[in-house]
Amino acid sequence: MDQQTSKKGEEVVKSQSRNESNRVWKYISRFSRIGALVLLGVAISLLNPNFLKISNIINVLRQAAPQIIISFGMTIIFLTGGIDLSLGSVVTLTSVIAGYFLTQTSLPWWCAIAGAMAVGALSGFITGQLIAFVKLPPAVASYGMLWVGKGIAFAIMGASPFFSFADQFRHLGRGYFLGIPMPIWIVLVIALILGWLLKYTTLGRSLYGIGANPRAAKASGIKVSRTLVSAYMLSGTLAAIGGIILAARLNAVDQDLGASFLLPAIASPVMGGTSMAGGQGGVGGTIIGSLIMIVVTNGMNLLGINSLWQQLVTGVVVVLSVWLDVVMRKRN
Amino acid sequence: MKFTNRKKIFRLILEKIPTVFWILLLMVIYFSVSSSNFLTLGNAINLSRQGAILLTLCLGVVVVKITGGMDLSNGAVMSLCGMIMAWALVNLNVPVYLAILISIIMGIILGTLNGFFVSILGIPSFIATLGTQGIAVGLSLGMNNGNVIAGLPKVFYEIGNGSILGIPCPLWISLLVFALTNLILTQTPLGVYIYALGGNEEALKLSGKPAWIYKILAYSYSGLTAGIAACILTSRNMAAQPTVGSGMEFEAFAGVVLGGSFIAGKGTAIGAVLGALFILVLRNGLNLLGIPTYLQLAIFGTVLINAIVLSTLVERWVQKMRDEERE
Repeated sequence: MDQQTSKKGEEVVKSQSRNESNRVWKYISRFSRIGALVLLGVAISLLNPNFLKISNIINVLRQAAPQIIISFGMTIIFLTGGIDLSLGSVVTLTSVIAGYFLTQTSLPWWCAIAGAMAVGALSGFITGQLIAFVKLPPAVASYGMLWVGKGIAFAIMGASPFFSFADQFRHLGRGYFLGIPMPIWIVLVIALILGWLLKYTTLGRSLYGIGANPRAAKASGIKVSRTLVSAYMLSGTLAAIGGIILAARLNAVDQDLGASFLLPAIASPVMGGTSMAGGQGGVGGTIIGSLIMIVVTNGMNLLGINSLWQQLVTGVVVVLSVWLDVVMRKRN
Repeated sequence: MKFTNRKKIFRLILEKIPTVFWILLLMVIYFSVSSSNFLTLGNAINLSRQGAILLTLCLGVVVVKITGGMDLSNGAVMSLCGMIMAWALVNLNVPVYLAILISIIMGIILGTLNGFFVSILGIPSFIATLGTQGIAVGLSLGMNNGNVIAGLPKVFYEIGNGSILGIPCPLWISLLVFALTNLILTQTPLGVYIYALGGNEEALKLSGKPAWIYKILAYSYSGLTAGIAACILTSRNMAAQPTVGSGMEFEAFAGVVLGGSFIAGKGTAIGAVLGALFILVLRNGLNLLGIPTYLQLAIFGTVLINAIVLSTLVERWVQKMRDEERE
């Protein structure tokens, strides 16, 4: 009898210690990405103290803003288990539309913003329809839209790029509010809204549900098709906002503006812990993921690494950090 | 009775011949009616020389696509293989056959790296091949400071521009790759396992087969075709350019999807060829009609989406017919 109780006691102690180590691992994995970011920052600032200067950090964040916002769009799509390859060309298209409104018409500057966001939403609407109702695989439907968006952007622009926009519009990209650049404010506001939307609204919870198990979501009364279309519209609108900020900062648009944003937008959410299979992740992680990528690029510039080799480093960082994430998730 | 028979034959035709073939046929007819230059021997030869590169890439991607993965790296891998091959030819003066071997081995190495990332480290194929793409782009830009390598030996010219028995060499090469892919997918146990990986990976693992090896092999094969395509491309340009392949990965992906590989576990070598031909003919036809570039892009996207939608609808209809017949 005594032996039995002591055995039980041992088991309890064992399972407690296992729980303990599990909890430690959970803790580590939750903060592993922030840890990676901090480590990276410390390493770079040891090599080049200029990295930690306020002006450099603010500059980095300002440049990161469009990429973070576009990655938010991709995060929402990843939560549903899809992918949107058209986001890069939506950025190009919407910034071209904004440029067209600003330079070729006499409409007020906010019309340009409204027009660009409407076009972004419309593009997402079409992609969403193709996925939800025609039942095309997301990669295929959005790949087709990539070419359509690119073609329309080319057609609107013709041969000459649009440049020199109204001052109020440029304020969105270059201006300051309370000493902090406008793009950073915009990212913060969008992050808060999206965080609330994903956590506390029916739409947000439905996105996670569809990504985790589409059949169960349907059986539990979620309107899957409608939610999917909303998700793609939302990501199209976010890409449009990214395009607007980009156009406002550069004070010009051209036909290759958005293409380079697609791959970072895919990598950032994944590096931030959003699963491409759907149902897991959120906007907080995406910010960290984007920042890791931006800090790597900025650090390489500060360290004077030849820009020709930078893609190699970025590739290795992407693979390593996603692998770290996979390992962490397996331990849990 | 007769009516149902006719319906069954119709169903069988739609089932056995991919939808993209009919769309391709329509396109060929349309372009040959509207442009007198389209259906000429010169254009066909030109098309087959240019198209062999995409064709070869598609035949590798389809194998990866069947396992349920995606290969975004093959465009960059192709550039890198070309750079290394040209570097060896110019700086080491290696014989041409050795240079070709180097290119192919380099392709296999990078493809295996993809396979290692996906199969052993468990990284999603999208991200893993994206990482390899970055590595390959960085290497091919860095190895010669972003410059083109030119001045290749004359003998090398024949691979991309010569002909054997009146048929251009690139076409011979892509036909060989097609035969090899078809053989692997339809006649060997490896092909069965590759389809099984896409259909039900768990079942394959439970049946005691080393699924992870087959997965790596699928990616290695895609790297191999990228290495072969690099030989054609470099020889056609008689120079290696570090960013020449960027964007090709998406074209190859589109071709494979058009050829019927919509979901994991589906796809054939002949489908990949038809899909690649679809893209090539569409591009070529739009060029010959003299349509401006910006419109070409939009038309390309619209036709692509519609072709894929049509293929999916036909596939669903065939499925329905089959179910009805069973009842």
